[in-house]
Amino acid sequence: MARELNVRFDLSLTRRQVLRLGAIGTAALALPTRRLLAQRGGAAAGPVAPFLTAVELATVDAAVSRIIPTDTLPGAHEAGVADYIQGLLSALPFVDANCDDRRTAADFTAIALRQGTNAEAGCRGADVNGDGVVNATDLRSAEVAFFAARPIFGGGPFSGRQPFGDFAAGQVTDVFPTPSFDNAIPLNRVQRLAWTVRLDGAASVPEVADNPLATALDEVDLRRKYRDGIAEIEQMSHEQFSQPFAQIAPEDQDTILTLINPDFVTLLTNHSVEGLLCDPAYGGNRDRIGWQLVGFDGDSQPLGYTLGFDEPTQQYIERADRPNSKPNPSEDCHSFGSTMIAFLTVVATNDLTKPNARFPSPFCFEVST
Amino acid sequence: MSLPSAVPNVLGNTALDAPFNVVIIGSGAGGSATAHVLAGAGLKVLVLEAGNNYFPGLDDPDHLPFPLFSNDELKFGVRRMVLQDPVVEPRTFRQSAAETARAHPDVNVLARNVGGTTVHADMKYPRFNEIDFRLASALRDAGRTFDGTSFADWPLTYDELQPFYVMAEDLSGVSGRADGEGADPFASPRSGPYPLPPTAEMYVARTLADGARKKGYHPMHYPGAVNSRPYGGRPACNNCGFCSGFGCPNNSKGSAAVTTLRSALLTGNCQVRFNCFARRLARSGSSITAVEYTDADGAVQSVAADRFILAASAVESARLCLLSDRDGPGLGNSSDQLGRHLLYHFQTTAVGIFKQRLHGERGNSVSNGMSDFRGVTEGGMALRSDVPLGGIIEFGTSSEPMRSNKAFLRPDALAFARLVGLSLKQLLVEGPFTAHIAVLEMQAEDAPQPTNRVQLDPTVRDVYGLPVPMVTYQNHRFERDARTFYQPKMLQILGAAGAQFGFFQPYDPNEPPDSRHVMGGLRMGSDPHTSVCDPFGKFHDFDNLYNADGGVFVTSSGYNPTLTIIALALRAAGHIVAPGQAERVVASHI
Repeated sequence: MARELNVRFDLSLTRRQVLRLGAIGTAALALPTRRLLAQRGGAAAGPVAPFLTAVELATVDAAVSRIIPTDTLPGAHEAGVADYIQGLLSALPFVDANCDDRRTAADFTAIALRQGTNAEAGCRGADVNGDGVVNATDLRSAEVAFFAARPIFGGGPFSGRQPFGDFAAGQVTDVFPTPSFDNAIPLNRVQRLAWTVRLDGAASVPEVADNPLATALDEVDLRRKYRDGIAEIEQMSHEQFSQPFAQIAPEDQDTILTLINPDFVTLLTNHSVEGLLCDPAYGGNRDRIGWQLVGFDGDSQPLGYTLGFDEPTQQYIERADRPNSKPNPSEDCHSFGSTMIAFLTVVATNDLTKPNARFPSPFCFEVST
Repeated sequence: MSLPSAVPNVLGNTALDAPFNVVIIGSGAGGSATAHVLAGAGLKVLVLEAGNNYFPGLDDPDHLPFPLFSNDELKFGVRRMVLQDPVVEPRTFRQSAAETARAHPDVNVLARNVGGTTVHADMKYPRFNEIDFRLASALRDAGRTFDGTSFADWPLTYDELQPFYVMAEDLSGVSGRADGEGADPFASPRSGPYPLPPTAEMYVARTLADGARKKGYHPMHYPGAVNSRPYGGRPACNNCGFCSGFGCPNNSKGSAAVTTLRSALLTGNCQVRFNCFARRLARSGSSITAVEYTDADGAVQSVAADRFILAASAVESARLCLLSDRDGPGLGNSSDQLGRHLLYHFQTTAVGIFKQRLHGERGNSVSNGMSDFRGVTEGGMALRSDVPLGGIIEFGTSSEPMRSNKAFLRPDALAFARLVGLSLKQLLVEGPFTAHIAVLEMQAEDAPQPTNRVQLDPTVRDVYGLPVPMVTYQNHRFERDARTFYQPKMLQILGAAGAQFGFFQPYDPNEPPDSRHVMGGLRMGSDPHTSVCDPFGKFHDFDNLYNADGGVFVTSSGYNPTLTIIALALRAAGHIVAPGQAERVVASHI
């Protein structure tokens, strides 16, 4: 684990930078700057506790499995949507370094400022690893904890699933890049504050006190919304069916989802779409099940879709299986089914962002075919 | 000097320190173009960038490393890695001064990172038309007047800007076709071909081009700063598909970062401090003396320089002038024009749903388009008398399944789907709003109005403790009439291309405009009483303060603005180095 995390950080730098950092030597190591430490890597933290308990995770898995169910095709369960949500909710550090009962970016500063001091009585605080002293190891532990679960921003440039192309030769090569999507990109100070608000709410970040959006947006205070939403689901399930949600029949689960706070169902729906279609580095879309389900190619770099340019014909050289400028070779150009047609006839001529609003004629139309 | 920099939050020559010859605020299209010229001419340049840097080793003289971008919809489209984040940096919006502005998560937010918005743009780089620079006169001559508007001629002509267009295209590596099949007949005369041939056409764009051709229009290869061949030490685009809204993983996109900013850094005369947010300009008489900024750790710093260039985007540059004089009218506002005549292209988006899958995730987002609805004659030298002024049309699609599905499958749509017996899963699998859509997007000119403006919000503050931009904006009938005129024609194109269903993204005047094309607010002109900046972007009220972003635009034209921002910024920087000899100065650094 420790080794892997160190590698994560180093890979986000160029080879040259890594070499240079090595050459700076011990003098730079002694510099008490947390930024250098953040780039360099250092002592490892222990595993970070995930946010949702196993029981809560089971409830989430059961709920998203009703939103995108498994039938003849895989659904949210197989795609690992619950793991995606767990990764999101666990993504910030469980470190209250300044003992203010909040976990914010200020905690990183607190550790940096208190290096070299002893841990305070009654509050482990900045002494993240509990060895009685606040030092660079604690800072590093907090930094690592920040990214340990799943990345907020996954690394780049390449997943390692696609090979390099050779544009001059117009060919695919058999050289694959080193995977880097797992190398979480460190957040800057302002991004940390924003993500603290997203996960723990505006109350934990005084800097957003005069920003109404920090409390109004659907995407903030996610941990509380999940704790409350899961609790409501379980309470309702016990009241109606005397069993945990994960153990009742699918149609009963559907009933429960119509009874609880609709905002939470919308949140679960949005996160289900994210967990189904995100890169697997974020925990969802396991084995790229989601992309296969919807027929999306997913990441294509560094190969891409044009392999080169053929001067004699003045045409780009494309991949036969996935052409850039032509229809898919297997495309049957079928129309939609009658149910989808009925739906689109109404919805596709509707203003989808405004319930009940319709476009005035002549903008509602079905193109004659 | 040792490059690349080993200092956190710094790119370039770390030995440089205050006082600088020039401080540039913003590392996007305009800021980087000025840095390229000024650092190239030997001036000591500091660039402050509010956002993070995802180009480690951008200042490495030996090679340009791959950046941290990737084909990852979540971190770009959903989690806003490169965008201004409303959770910490909100803006407020209202239609008119009679209303109280409300905080809104997307008042035309742009990118916050080294390279600015050119990092996540898909780099559509057309020029403006010849007539755009004298549009007010042309409208007046044609007897077309519009109450409440503030059309004015630009203080320079297309011919004066043309050499800088050429140099901006060369620096950025613009692909396109100047004549023959696939050229834009409405583009104004060029002195030569594009530096690069056109990029590969996407299937969806070919489909829409067929429809347009059937209706008698002139689809063309969209000019773009995307490498259709290896160029500038960067590889050819392989059409990975993650272009609009994404940073480019292999640097084939000619963003400001990998073109002009990198060249500035490699001179050794330029330093970029990123994660550094400019808070206030300090003045003494008619000079700016220093800029205060919040650094990466949240501490407030100050740096002195001989000259200051605002390139933070039209809204943020105007805001900084207001933040720097909170007890007064704002810096540079003796004309009462500061923040006024704010411009956004008026986007009309027609969506077609096709029977076949259009695989919009392959290609450079928009490979083709047409200018027939701009409303000018061939060559862009005169107005057509029979049609309104609209804008260029982009032939687009959906390349982002997460965002498209979330945008279309809202609770009310899903509730209706359930009623007719359709599940969310069926909608995701069949993909009527993702794999099957083609989009026509018109970037229509909006009329300048003095009441459309940027001010400081009286109550809402950002994470830096500063009042946020308050945007007051209302569309004029000038552009609303154009929308009404061109909408049916857009549907006809979709139908001719084979769409089964079609609809428009709604226009809601209560919402901020959809456009990312932000211009005006620091209007340029020859008369200090009616403009903020002079014809070279220098503030009339100051001897050492300049604007080099879209703020100086007088009108919005009907074409994507970035190439024009770069051309004007190059010209402004050349003029700083040697007044009256801008063209010679810039040409010596191409």
